[in-house]
Amino acid sequence: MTTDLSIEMAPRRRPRAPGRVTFWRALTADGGALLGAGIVCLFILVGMFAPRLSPYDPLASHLPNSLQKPSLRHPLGFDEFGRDILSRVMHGSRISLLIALGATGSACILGVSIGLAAGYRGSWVENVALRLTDVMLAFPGILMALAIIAVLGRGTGNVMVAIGIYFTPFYVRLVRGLVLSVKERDYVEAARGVGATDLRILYRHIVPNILGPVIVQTTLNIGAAILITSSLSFLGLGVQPPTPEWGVMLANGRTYLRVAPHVATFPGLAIMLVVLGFNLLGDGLRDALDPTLRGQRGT
Amino acid sequence: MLAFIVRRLLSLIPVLLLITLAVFLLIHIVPGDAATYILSEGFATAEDVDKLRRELGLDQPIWVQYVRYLNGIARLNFGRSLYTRRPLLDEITARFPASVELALASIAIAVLIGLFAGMMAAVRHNTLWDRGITTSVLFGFSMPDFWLGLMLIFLFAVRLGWVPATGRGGVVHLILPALTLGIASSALIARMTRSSLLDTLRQDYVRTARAKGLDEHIVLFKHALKNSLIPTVTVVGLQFGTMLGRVVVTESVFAWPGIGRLLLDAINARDLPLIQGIVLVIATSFVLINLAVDILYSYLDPRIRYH
Repeated sequence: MTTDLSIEMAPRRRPRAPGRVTFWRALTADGGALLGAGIVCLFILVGMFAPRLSPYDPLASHLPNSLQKPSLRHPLGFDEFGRDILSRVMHGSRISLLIALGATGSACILGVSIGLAAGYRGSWVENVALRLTDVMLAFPGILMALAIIAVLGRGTGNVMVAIGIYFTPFYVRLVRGLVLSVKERDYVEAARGVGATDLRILYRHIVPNILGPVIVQTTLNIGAAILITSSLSFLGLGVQPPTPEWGVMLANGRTYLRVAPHVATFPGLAIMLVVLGFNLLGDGLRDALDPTLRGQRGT
Repeated sequence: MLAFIVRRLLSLIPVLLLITLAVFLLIHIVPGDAATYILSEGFATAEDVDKLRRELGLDQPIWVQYVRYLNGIARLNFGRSLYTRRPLLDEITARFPASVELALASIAIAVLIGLFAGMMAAVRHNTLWDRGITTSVLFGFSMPDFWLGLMLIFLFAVRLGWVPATGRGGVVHLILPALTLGIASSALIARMTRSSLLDTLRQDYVRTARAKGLDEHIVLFKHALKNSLIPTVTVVGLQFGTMLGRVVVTESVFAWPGIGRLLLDAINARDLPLIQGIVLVIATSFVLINLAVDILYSYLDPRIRYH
């Protein structure tokens, strides 16, 4: 009697997807990943609520306070115009994150679409896409972004465009490779066998299976985008003063390195901390998604 | 081996052609008209704009312009800087050695720190050493170059006064900029060395070497290290290539008179031909360095030649 019951009960309980459970368990067991997620969340919250959270107006200058050292009421001190550095750093996270998310997001959408088309269709689409990425990847580091800004002009919007273009070929390469390995799997064959359209195969069977590496890459790219944004602004080619962007603040602080090193120190620490957060989170996601890496931290 | 090199060299031709096309098109993606854009800061008359347009060849059909551009490159005649009126090739070759010097010194520092740290971390796997090194590697990845440069200037030039803060001269001038560029690359090299050495140390032949009672030093240096260095060589080569792109920021921090500063000056002066020339030279060098790395890699690891 009891055995009958259990047999009847069994199908009602849906088995949980084992992959998902081990993924979360691996991720939450990884101290580095949790720390990274914490840092990232902190900066996102500060960025979102900067106007409410920041103790002072980031643009209000009071010249008598110029270059004053950190104190209890102003924990990060003042810059050359007597502006509160803590408030400026807080607003800076809003700007850096917005640019980084905008640039990485558009690169992701564009690059993934091209990569899907190239990997799935093959033939000339793939050839053209690969040659294009070859050329784009021939410009090392921020050279491509610099060239784009040189012709489009400086400013926040163009920085976003330049960084977005910079990251696109990396997504194309990554996604094409992933699609090539996924599209020969049995379940894709089966879907094709029962008459699914290409679009349905792409979105129901291929995209979900390549999402993991794309998310990892995006997490790491956001960190890299923050570094590039601040570099461009530091060079005077990105966000323009008096906007409280970290690279802009560093460029100003550089002049006063001798008398007031704190002006250049804190924006740099903020950049390092948030990029570290994204790197820790990205590494943790990668380890958690790749079962072969589990248990060998950092390799 | 020779066939492999020839094949790789041939595959380079379309890439290099496309690079010239991309660099050529730079002047055409300027919003509006390039001549107006270049002159926009002064009080340019319509005649000035027309004159510049003719000098840049913008009055010709676009394909004629491209053929002319390629023709110029083939004769090593890149045109003239709009600002100094000197031939671009002279401008660029005058600055290139300084950048190469900086890149070489940075790579030397990166290899020194990276190899040592990576080996220490692998040999002392799962100890405090290992954790300390892997943590420093993460910090190395996350630090902005220019901020590290400023902090080094503050510590070693302003506070301690050991080295000059900026400019180019003897070896002392080279230390801080090379450290700035080298530290980030050393993080990557350390990570690569560590994981590849750990991988090698798990191989059967290493176990055999240990089992027959060889000294641990001989096992490490003679058996494991040599094989584990192949991926590291690749990373070092690729890092050297990306240095050429990264020097721009570091040269600006240290007022280093290299090609990066020249590019920045060109951007500020809207000297489009000079920008094109510098970008072309850097991209071409980058592609050639990557080719050399590829060939070196196939020499060290003959297995990949057949793929």
